[in-house]
Amino acid sequence: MTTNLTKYETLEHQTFDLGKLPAKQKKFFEEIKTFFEKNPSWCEFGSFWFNQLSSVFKNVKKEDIPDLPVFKICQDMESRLGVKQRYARLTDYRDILAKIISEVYKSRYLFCKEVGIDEAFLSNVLKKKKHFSTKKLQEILDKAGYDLEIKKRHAFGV
Amino acid sequence: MHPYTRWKFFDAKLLSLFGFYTKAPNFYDGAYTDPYTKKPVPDKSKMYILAVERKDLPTLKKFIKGVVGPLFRQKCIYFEVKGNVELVYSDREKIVLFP
Repeated sequence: MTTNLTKYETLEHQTFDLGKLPAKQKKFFEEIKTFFEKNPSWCEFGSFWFNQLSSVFKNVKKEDIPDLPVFKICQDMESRLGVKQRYARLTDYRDILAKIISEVYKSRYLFCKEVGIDEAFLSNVLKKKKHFSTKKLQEILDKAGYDLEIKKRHAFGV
Repeated sequence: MHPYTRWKFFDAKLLSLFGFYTKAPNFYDGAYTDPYTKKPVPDKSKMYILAVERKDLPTLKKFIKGVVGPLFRQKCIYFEVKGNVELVYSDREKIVLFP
């Protein structure tokens, strides 16, 4: 747990400079962080911060709410609680692969045809029964137009 | 167990499609009999409450059937409107898209 935070980094490596938050958002963050530090249940925290935010920022247009830095930070704190309490898990390359297939290719068949792999093997990979080697994964991503990236791991945001 | 990103995606979709939602602060523990295997399955559920206009109900049901069910690999979702309960069955062919 980091105290006196100046920056907040999400699980997806998006960084927010807390010092630059508008005063109202900063105060809201501090209040929600205090509640977060009591380790409430994942459900309770998710309900709490969202209801509080809806009330405190009621003058902000609804469609603009998800763009508030404090919205993204609170959402990330909720994700961290879910992972910590084992109601949710961190992602791995298979989740990202599944998302690409779902959003870009619409079917596993079309994806496999495009990148030249066996559909049954892909199914086992997505079910976590088998793995692609790093070399094979790189080949697949090359054909699909994506890159592998290595990122430095930072401390948990809060 | 679902990746946290799936929950974020779900929340974002709810916001973009319906404007707002309320999350119940507790889990709902229960069990159901799987209609396919006939075996009891223990279950822990989250509840979301949405205020939508009557004209938007078909959109909500379509969202549950085509996105929510497959996304969370649920065969069906408990759906209640003004006390009337319905089980909305997921599009099974879409379930395979979300491991």
